[in-house]
Amino acid sequence: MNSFSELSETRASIYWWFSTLFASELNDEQLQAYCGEEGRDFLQGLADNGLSEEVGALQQVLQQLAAQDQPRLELAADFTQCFLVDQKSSALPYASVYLSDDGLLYQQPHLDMLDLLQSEGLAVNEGMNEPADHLAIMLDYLGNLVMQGVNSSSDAEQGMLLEKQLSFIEQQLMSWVPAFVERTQQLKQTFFYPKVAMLLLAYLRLDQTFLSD
Amino acid sequence: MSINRRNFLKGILASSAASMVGPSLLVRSAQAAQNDPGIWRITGSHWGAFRARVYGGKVVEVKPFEMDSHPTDMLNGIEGIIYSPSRVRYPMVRYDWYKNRHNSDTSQRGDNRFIRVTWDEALDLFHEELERIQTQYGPWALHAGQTGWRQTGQLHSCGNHMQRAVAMHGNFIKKVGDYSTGAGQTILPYVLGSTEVYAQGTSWPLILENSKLIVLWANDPVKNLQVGWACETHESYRYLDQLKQKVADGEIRVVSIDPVRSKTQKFLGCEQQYINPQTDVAMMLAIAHTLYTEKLHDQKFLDTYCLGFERFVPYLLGESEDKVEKTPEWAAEICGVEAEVIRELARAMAADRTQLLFGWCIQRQQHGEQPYWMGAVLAAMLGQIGQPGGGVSYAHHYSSIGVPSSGASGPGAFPRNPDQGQKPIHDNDDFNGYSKTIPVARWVDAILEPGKKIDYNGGKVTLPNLKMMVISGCNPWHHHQDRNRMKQAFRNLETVVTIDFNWTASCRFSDIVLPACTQFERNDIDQYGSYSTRGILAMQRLVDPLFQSRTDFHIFTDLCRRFGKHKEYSRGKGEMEWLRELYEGCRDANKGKFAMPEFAQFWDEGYVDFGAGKPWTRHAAFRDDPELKALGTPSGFIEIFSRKIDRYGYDNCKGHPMWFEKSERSHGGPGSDRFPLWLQSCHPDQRLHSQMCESEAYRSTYSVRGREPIYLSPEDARRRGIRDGDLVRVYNDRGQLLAGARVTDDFATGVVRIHEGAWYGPMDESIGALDTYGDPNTVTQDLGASKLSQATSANTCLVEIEKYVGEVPPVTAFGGPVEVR
Repeated sequence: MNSFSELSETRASIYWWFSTLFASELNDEQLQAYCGEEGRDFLQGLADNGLSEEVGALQQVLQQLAAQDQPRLELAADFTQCFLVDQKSSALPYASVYLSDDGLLYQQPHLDMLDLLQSEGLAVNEGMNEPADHLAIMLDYLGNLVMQGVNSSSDAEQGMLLEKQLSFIEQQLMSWVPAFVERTQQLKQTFFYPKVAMLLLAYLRLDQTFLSD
Repeated sequence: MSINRRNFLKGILASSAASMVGPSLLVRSAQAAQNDPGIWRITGSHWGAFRARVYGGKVVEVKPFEMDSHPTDMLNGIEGIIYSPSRVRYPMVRYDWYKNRHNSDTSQRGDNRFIRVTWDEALDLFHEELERIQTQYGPWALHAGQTGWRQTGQLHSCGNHMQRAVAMHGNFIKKVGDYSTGAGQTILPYVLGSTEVYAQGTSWPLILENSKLIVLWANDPVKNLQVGWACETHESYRYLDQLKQKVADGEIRVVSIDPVRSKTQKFLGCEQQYINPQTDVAMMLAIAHTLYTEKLHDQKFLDTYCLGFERFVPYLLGESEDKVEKTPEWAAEICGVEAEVIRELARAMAADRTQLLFGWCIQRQQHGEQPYWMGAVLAAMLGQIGQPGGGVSYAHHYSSIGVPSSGASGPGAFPRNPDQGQKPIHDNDDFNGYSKTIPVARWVDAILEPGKKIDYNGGKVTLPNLKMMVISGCNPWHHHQDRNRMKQAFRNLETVVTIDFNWTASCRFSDIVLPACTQFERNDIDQYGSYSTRGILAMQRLVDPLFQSRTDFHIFTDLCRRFGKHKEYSRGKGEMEWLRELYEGCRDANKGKFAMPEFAQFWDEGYVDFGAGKPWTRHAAFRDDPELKALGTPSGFIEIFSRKIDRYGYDNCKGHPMWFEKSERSHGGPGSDRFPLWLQSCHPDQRLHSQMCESEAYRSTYSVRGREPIYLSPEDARRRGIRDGDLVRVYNDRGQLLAGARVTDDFATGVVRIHEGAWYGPMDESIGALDTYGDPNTVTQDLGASKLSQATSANTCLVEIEKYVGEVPPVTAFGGPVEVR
């Protein structure tokens, strides 16, 4: 049986793992890890928890990638195509694009995230000159939120924190992530990150169910 | 699905993810919560000056500058520019180019993957390519000369930055002329001694006071004065309000000669005179014929101030050239205006003070020199040039021209060229027999037919063999004609570098894309009131550069660093030092004439106003003393006949203005049997060329089913079964596009309009692909206006349209909003 703190650490790690994937291109070490034992075990763990379809798709792509001349570069081009060009070629990973009337950047979801971070004594790292409603930032924050529960003393406090996580997932993420993920599925000339996006959505739903129970 | 809570995520160890998790994106912050309403800053733009409220590092509100009595609605598009999902956020390189450099598969351009690179890597690649081009080929292979409506601001003017930096590395091909007034600015120096199109004109108060008849010839100032080359403050509109009143009171008669009921015609409530497209010269010749045969012309003026009228008259009377007398009956057949109406207008012009005001559209067509030249001849025959409220103007629809100049000096700019005495790294000046400078609209010809010799303005141009282009401050994939020809041409280029803040079509067809910030993310200085120099404006940075974007100053300083020229480039000065210097230079120039405070005070207050200027009459000095104040023409006089042009021996621009049939013309003209509709692509009402097209919310106020509107007459719509709001396919032999039908009585049968500047969004990179948004240059003709100007002929274009019935493709021109289901 998982202890609450172990479970929290695992859940937080998974969000941070996703956050890393959406924050920037993978470096050589990270790519190595995916192709090594750690990566296999980690992905298998997710597969064993009801995500076998999504993980399987990802694993298949990773295998194909290993056969490429320059896998890191291929992944970097895939990352660019998926998230970094514009909404014509890419799926922009910002809540504002999906939630504001005009599809603009830096709209209310950004300001809401700024307020939320500020209220918790947090801020976006200056090196990351991105709006606060970037998916990676929101997932990073969610990981932090999950870890807050580790130090809580009472069941009541734990319960409250789980509520808070659920509400963040439901209101701040599930309000737009499905549209974002759907957009990634329509992109041309992509292979890896649309699969990651599918896995994220499936995991969010899984965690949502866990928190609702 | 139910989850067994005890077993949730069993078997996953947090530590197993460790090597795949990067550093946190969040930091602890002690910053207190912000409860302030934000701060107000002032800045300017082509659309006008405004104040913006900035809260939490974000522009949340925009309101017009209080000195602007007629702010344009387009200020509503500003936030959509800054926060557009179409912004270039990071330096990018086309992936295939990244792997194969100049040997890349160029047929993929326009629909190819990119890869993000760091600024350092991007600038290294840029520098290496400049180096390769200069050493492998020479200066003739590099074109860094396209320019356009850069963002406003004298310091950060991006074309200056790009050209100064590239010139410090080596020489390159430059251009002459522009896409707005190419034919006009070439012909008018021969006729009136200056470009006229970029010169202050007779002040509106004098026109309002003295003119009895104003002829707006293909001219829509109410539409076009919304934007200005420098910061616009829309003072012309006060005069247009007064003109409207005078029209209503019957004090001034205004006639708008135009195939379309223009915004101005409707605003003024003035007379509308329909004319068949591209036939203006025929009608003008008939007016001249009436003036001459009825002896209404001012022979004394012609004798005193003009040259060559006697060589023009035989053409008018059918005694030379085509041996056809240019009677109103002759013209009526061509231009669709009844002979009696032409006669009446000629008599009215001669009866009292008449001001001719021309727009630019009629010179953006084949033989575009002729209507401008002929307009000057008409004005000369009327004998009122140099009198208040008389004569001819070619620019009262542009950048506050006609608003009296304050007489003050505006601020200087960041230099476009290297400083005197500086040598580029590669000072090879051998252009291998190619011309160093080409007419602006002929660069695609150069790429497709290098080495070809063409006539231009009395000389010969040998088109260079271009291999690399650097594009900044313009969007050639908007402003040039015939997209499918461009697609073909771009396959011949080895490397294209574009610096922009938006993913324009030009970026999509490039190999290296560098993210500039918008003008709202930098400090700058500008004059406001455009040509009237009403005052000086502080352009205070509203927000810091978003994402990884940088100022052009920053970008090109770092490029120059790669070849050790960064200190020469910046003169060792930063942004605020430059601004202070530009301001102080302006203050010195105005010393004793206009009071200007210290820089710090100016920056804090946001502007210095010079006050209103004194009314002035164009060419009055010449009229007073034609010898001492001679015009800049070869003879010093108004040249109705140009010996110089005559000697060039061109078949499409001869010694005096003439009527020439067009390669394509509607209403019975060539090609109208197959493609019966004339497509005009005039300046937009709700954009500045292609700028602000990306502004999502604002675009949705005029787009039709997400597409650029095409305006057409009820009769043309009926014949094709098209209803207002329908999606239509617009096509000819050159290309095809989708647009949204706007059916309106303002348009005559056979006349349709798509405003230029609609972003190009083809289905894919293939030649002939359907454009999904409605860029008119998908179907326009890439043809030099004549051997004289070689200017764009965008308005010589015929199309057919049909109701679109196929599967509707999504618009691919922008990163548009995505619906959350």
